[in-house]
Amino acid sequence: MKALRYSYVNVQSRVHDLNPLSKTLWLLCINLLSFVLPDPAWLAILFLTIFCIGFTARLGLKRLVDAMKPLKFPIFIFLIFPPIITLQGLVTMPSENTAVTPLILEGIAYGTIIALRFSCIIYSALIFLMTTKTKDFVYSITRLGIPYRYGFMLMTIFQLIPSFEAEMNNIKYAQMARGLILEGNTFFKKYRNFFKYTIQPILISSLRKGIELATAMDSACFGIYKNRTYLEEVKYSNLDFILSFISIISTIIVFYLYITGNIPILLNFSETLRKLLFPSG
Amino acid sequence: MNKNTIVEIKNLRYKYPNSSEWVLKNINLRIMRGEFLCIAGPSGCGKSTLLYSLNGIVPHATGGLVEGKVIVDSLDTRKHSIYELSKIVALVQQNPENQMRTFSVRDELAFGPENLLLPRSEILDRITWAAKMVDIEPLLDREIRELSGGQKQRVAIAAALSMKPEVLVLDEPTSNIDPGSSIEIAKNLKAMHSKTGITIILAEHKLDLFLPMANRLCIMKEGEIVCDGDPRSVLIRYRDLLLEIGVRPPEISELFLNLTRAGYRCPPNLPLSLEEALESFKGNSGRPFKCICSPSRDIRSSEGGPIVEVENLSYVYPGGFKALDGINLQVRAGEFVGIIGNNGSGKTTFLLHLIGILKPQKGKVLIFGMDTRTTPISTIARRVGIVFQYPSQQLFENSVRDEMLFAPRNFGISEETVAKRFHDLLKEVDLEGLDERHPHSLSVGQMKRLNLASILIYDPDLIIMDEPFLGQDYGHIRKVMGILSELNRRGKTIFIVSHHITELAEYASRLLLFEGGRIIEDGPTREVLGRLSDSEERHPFCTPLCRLSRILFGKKIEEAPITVDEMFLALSGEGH
Repeated sequence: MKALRYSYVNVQSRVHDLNPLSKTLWLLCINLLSFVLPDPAWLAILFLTIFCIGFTARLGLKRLVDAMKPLKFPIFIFLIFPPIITLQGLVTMPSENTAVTPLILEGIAYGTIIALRFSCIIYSALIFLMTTKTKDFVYSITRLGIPYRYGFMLMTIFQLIPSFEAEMNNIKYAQMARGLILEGNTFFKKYRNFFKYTIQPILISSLRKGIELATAMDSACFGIYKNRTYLEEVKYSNLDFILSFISIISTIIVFYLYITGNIPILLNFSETLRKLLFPSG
Repeated sequence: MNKNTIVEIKNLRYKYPNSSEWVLKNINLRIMRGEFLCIAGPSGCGKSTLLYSLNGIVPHATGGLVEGKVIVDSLDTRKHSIYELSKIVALVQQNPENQMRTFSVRDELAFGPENLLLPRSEILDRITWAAKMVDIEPLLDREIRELSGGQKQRVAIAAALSMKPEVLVLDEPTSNIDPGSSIEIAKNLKAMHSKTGITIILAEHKLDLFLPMANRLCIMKEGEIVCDGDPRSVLIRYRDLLLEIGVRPPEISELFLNLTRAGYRCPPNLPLSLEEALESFKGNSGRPFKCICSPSRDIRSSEGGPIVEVENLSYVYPGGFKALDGINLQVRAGEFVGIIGNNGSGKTTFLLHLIGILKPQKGKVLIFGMDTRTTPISTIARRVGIVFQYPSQQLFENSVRDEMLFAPRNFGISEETVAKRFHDLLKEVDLEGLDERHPHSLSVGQMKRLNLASILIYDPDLIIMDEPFLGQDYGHIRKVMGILSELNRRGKTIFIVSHHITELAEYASRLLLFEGGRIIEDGPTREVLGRLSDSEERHPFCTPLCRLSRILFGKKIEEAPITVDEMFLALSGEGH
């Protein structure tokens, strides 16, 4: 199942043992850094760092490479569209020339940076998902004072995703079996069929599932008291403190450099591209 | 209320919100501590509603109008919350998939006790105890997503037990489960009942499995309890009523009831299981039956050419699960093929290949000579009608009428062409007068029959049904099988995938057993069931009646009776 491909991977590692809260903090810092770091070289270093953490988590090279598949979408979108729609003044790197070629070059450079930013964000989120049990995450946030009902709501969503995916497939199969042509359809026809014939059975099935799950939870006294016992305690170890410290400090430093305009540019990407593509100038 | 009484229901009437009909009508029931009560009845008779009224889901969660009283362990369910009642009554629902609240088995068992704010040490004790009761200790550290349907249902039972309830209520716990797992669940319940003395209230269609361990049977019809008592007395006294309302007694009991009615000397205690039947034969030194082996049933054979040709078919899902492993099969026009096997054995994957939705990764599939790898699905679908397992996932339109016309419209068949068939089919599947109803407002049984009508309307030559008996009572099972038999008689080829071996034994001429993505048994139904009866590890795939037949009639597999009628004729000699 596609939805399960990037869910929790049950292996023993120091990354897995980290408290979900420290990993959430790390994720948040990666997100902030991705938006602030100005050039592709820094972003590539950040991406490499995320990859190394995934490697330390013993997720295996194959799975780490496989987790890059969802990055195809942002890379495609941001490399294709910005060069087409970029206007002078909106690009991050200045251009002395208003001719079409430099404009497209800047678009490519801009698109590459945005694609790298989204890649860092998506990839770090996938590493987080593959190394963090939803249950542990929910337990940790309830310890922060968030009511456990909200935490379990999140858990339920994660739990239902794979079954919805399976149901979507079943509905699609049933439609094909009764002559609805889904193969080779245009984008418009595909979506028209989806809204006309698929949404209804999915909604009804979700409602039924929701009612059954709510019955199962009520029958186990869920929500009877304001608090509940947790069989397992999610602890905060020294490694958690170290990760949190490094994440916070590095983000503060980068932000300080960003505000003061002192982040060193490692690579002038637009210029490099121009030299590569148009060596004659 | 007597202290030995755990549940007392007085004049209970209930109707759902926005409904004008009473779903429960004047129910009076007293259940004693430690009883094992089995509730049976046709689909829609109110069994589930009655069960849900025991822990207050009805009416606290459902709303609606209630009259009368339900007292559980001295608590009036109308005055006490679901939470208070759930400490006494634990509920296990039909579908294990939709009642798992966490990701791992240990967490699922801990979920209820955690909500009750119990100390960790007690939660751990309860987990160990509940897991032991249902024999799932080896599964404790597993993720729920890795488990089979049967294992999940046992986890659901253990999770209910971890609440340490006085009453365990189970709503058709084996309806989505394969035969092997169903037997496991029945064994677990029996052992747990004798060890703990807990009160068990179970609604089920599979009386073969659960009646031998129950000490009371209630039959419901249209919201009322129409008979109640010791299972044997109920079966003897109300036999005709049961069959009339769509409740089938265990096959073994049905056989003995038929023999008694025909004037044969039968044991005073009506046998409910194979073991009891064998015991009664042992005790009868006076040879009460003629024991003449004379099955009269024809084994239908087909003279047509092959319409399904499967060669060395293999299929591996993207996650690496090998669903099919070298399947070879030829089916001729006019055959009636039953497919059995545990969940996950490859049956559904195989069906998806027959219509070209899945393409062979290895080998090939030819349907009416069309190679599924190269023929568009819609071309194959015009000749192959398939009904999948879950009925609501196959309803796309806003009225029964449009639903039935969905496929003809896709195939470009005019409404005039199918107009006559439309009305005939509605009548045949018992949906007459419901043309304008929303398909999703029908009962599960009605939806499933609508699914069938929606493919029969375009008159396909090969009809495939995945678990056609889901949500159907015995009366409607006979109706659906009657329709399919008639189509088969007219030359249509039928494939049925089901866990209901009794019905397949009655109707299918050929039986396939899937295991681990392979067909490990293939042949005339009688012979396959005979071979399965001879192998102890395959017993879940044959009926107690087939096993009795093999024990009584020895080695002539090809002549062994496999249905109640055949067995009656063989034992009574009336077949001659």
